[in-house]
Amino acid sequence: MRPSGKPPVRTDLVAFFGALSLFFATLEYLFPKPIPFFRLGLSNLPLLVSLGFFSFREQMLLLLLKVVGTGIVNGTLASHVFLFSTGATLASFIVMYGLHRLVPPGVISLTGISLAGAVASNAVQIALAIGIVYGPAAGVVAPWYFGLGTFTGWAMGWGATAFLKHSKWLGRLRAQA
Amino acid sequence: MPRPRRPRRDRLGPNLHPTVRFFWGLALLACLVFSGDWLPRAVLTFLGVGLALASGKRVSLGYFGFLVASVVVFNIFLPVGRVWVKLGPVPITEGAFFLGLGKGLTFAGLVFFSLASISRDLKLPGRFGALWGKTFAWYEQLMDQRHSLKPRALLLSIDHLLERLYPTRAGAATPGLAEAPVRNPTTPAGWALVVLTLGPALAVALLLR
Repeated sequence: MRPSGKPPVRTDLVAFFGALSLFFATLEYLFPKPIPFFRLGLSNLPLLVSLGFFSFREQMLLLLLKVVGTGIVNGTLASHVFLFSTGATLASFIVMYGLHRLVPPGVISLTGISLAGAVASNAVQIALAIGIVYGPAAGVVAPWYFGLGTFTGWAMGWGATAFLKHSKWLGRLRAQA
Repeated sequence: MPRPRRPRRDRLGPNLHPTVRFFWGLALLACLVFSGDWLPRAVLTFLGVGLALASGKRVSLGYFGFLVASVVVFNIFLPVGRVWVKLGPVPITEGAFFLGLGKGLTFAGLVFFSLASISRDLKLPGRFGALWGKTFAWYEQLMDQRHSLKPRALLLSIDHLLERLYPTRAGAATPGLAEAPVRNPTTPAGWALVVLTLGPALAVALLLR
């Protein structure tokens, strides 16, 4: 134990989860999008499943690896896409982490946490789209955007719950933690 | 189910060191952002398309066409300059159209220059850079082994892949990470590309204002 009393950051594990996040982002990038600007947000899965056993510092590092790494791997680091991605990921993480820490597990499921994160992420993206790219008229697409975001948030929550339930690898990892 | 597209060859990578490439991209971005009118932005955006394609990145022209068109549509109702046509009480103005077009082209151009200039081998400084190095090495291993994922038994195959790369069973050895990538120095052809793209981009940004 270090003098500060804080547990050390498990850099290898965080790096591995960061790699998983990039891997999912690439898989999503490789498939054509059915609707322009539509994203499933597969890269959020590692953030979601690590909520239970990563410390706040580890989660923040993972978030940073996800946004910077996706920017480098997809080549969007020097564009407005990076700003949108950072804002949306940060907002959804704050909401998801807050709900996970403050609300008892029997009251809210992982799918509920994911849905709330998706709503926060979409709210930030719409605010940025209005403020930076499209102007106030973009508000008309907000209901559609929130509708799609609700679907993807639910899908990611469902996927994360299924993985938590069935993954022996994750089970052993959580037991070790 | 659509088949994933094959990655294309990066023609810039062998000639440009990732750091030189990054700063070259930043300079091109600055030319785009500070060029005033829609015309220089259009010229620079077309240069960006060419460079993004040369870098082996996937460029969906339909997607970017939609991006530019949607920015124009959302901006067109602002009353700026000469009135072209009136849709009921709403005037469609020349100024609003070109303002939207310039803005849309800028955002599309930003993505093209970013695609061309950000290399996966870009080295980040400090402790975060070291962590990024590890992350990227694992990412490469995941990408190498992605064909072991089976859609019919997705969760099980993901579980096997994760256990292979990051063992959690007692006594299992962690496989070694791949060595850091070799970063090519900038060749004379690379420097020529930098000069031949930055010079005209600067001229377009300054002279076509």
